[in-house]
Amino acid sequence: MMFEASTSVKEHVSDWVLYARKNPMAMWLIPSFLVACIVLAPFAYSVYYSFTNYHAMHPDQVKWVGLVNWIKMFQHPNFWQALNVTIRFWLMGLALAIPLGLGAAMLLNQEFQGRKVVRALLIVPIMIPNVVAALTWNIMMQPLGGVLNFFLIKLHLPIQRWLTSTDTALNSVVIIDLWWSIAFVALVLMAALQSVSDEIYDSAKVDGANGLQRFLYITLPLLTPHLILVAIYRSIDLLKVFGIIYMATEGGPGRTTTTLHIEAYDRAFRQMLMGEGLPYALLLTAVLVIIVGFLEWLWGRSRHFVGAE
Amino acid sequence: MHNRSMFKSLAVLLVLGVLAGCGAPAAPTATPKPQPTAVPQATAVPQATGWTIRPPAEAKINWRQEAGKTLTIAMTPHPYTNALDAMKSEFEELTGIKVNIVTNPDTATQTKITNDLASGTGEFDVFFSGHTWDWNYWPHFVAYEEYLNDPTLTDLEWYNLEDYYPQMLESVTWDGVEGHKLGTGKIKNLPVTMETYILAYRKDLFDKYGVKVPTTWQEVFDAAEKLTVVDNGVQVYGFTSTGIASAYRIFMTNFHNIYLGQGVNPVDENFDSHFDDPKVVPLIKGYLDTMKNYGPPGVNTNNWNAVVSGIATGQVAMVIDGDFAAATYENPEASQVAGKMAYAPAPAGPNGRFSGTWYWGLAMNEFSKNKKAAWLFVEWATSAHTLREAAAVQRSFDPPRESVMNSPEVAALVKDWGDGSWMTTVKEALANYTAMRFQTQGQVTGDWSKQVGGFLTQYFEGKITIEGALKSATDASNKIYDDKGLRKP
Repeated sequence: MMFEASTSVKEHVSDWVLYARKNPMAMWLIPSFLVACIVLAPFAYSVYYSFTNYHAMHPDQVKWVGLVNWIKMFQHPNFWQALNVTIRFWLMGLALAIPLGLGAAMLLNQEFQGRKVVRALLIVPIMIPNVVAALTWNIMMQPLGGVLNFFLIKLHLPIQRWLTSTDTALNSVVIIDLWWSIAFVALVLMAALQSVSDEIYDSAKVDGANGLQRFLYITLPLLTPHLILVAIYRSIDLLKVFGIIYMATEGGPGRTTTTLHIEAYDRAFRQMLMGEGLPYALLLTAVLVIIVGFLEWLWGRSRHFVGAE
Repeated sequence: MHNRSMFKSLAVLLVLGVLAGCGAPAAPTATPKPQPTAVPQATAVPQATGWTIRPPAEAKINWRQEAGKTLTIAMTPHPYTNALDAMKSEFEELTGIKVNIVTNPDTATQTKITNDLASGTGEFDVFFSGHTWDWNYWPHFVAYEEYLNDPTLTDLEWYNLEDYYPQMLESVTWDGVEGHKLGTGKIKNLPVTMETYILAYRKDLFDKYGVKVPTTWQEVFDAAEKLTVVDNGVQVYGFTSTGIASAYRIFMTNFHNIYLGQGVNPVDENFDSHFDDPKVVPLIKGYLDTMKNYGPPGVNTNNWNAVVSGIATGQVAMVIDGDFAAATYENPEASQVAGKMAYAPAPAGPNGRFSGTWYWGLAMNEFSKNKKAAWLFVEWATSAHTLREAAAVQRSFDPPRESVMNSPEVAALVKDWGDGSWMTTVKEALANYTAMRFQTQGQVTGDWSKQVGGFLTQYFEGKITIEGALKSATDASNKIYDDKGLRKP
């Protein structure tokens, strides 16, 4: 049996070598296969362990528990609350980042004194780790002694409790995320704007189109693929958000800013319940894949629409 | 086995990502016994008469037996970490062992410890760990008895384990079973700092506005109202507190005292919760209302740092919180109120006065490949000699050893803190009513803290009644302990 098996393996290998000699491009499958193994093997392990009682401190006592962790998750109010926070954070972040980023891009696309300096400054937030950004904003948003409330007082406006109130905490972390991410959106869209030929705008001007019409009927349609591309990148960041929220609020007050990622972290690393934490993480992955998949489909359609492919 | 562990870690990391962070504590218990007991029999060493702190060179062991080894120590930002950074060369010269100290924020350190212990890689030899952390990691921390009782590794007479405050030794001795009492089992952590909760107040403001030092909770609430004033053009808030958003810390510092003082165990020995006991509801309401009406904005999410800074910047008149903060209040380089503070015991209820506690200490990794060298480090780092220098020079407070607390060096540093009232108050608290109040539990503390804290926050924000908040908190707490199988109604 052993002899037959090894002969069979040898035959397979020699067949494959022959095939590779005839089709050299097939060699490129090897790195792809390795990458797939490196990515998929731990992912498959994650799926497997989501059906077990895997406890971080007792990795030698793992037992198969079937759907228990998944059922527990769907029955747990924390899950629905975390899903709700995740989606709201994503929607708010996206709905604000794209128009604000586009506005910044259009402003920076204009000729004005000091444009280079402003563009250089725009990159600064991107270079700051999001955890540092969150800590800095946390200090700035302190209700007592924070610089934001200092300015509100100077302007005779009511002070805000920012990260400390269940009413304003989620909005406040959205603001932090916007500060950190908006430069990225603006830079991508500014590059896209510069790729639009001036001749199109000149022709439209000749035809009597005003600024709003030129924006609505030229800029926006031509930028659509880029807008969707930015939405894809931002969606990935927003749905996976961790550092900003953890450093700013740790998911509180109460559970106001607890996203699926934070819930997964708490269960897996704080409560040590890896088996229970994994369904939260995997479900977040599924949500992310669905949303990004849909946006990618839209992106393909939009590129087709504007004749980019 | 090792490869499997690695794959498990990879699997988890792939999906969850590697993240950073900070210690968030746990859930309650309370033993309304003012004074804990216990030094485990296995390691009990009679304290020698006239025992004095002596330098490591006088210990009768060969400190150089592990020379050439390298240790990696996981620490969080803390005065004791500063002390280690400053003093580690002393250890390296003594032993020939090189020490790398890796300092990360609490959450990042917790993640690193979890990964290290779950995968069994032994990246770190020694961890900085506190009590709720210990309860999670206990299975993979090393029991110290083997090392303490090995005369080639430990000179017990020089080290003097019994020099630790008894409640500290009790806190780090456990059998590892959730719900079981502390004080029996193995020692798996040796504290380097500890704390008790006392009243710290601005004596100058109390005198100026004719306010009596409060001895009951109602007096605290009344004093807070009188001390919320504009003083010399500066808005002063009468009271501050640790936040309620994560409930663990407010229970540890003050709520256990309020409940137990009324004879109510907030979570009893059967893990049954009694937050809504009618005897206590008015006091919890009074506490939260005082925070809201006479505390600084954002007080509901204060971490300990914000509490300390509120007092040190002169914006708050009074707090009942960790006594260690006096090291900041009384440091003119870090505080605007040095020399203006005084200290007194926390308020009492009809059933007495109760303080919780917290410690930070050093625990050894089961998967360390340098356990003997790691023990030599722990022995040196937790010795009275090292802790005395950490306290007296680096202001790492409170020292968990009596000899250090009573040393001339520490006495000289603290003698003017509140005209000596700090030392008197702390000694009284440690002698009479400081103990670990939470029942041992590991996995549910974060969830408990958030859920209970969420209901307290809803009352604080005026969204529900106090009765509703405490009833909901009770139900949520009971459900958590039911789900964990800890509750025995």
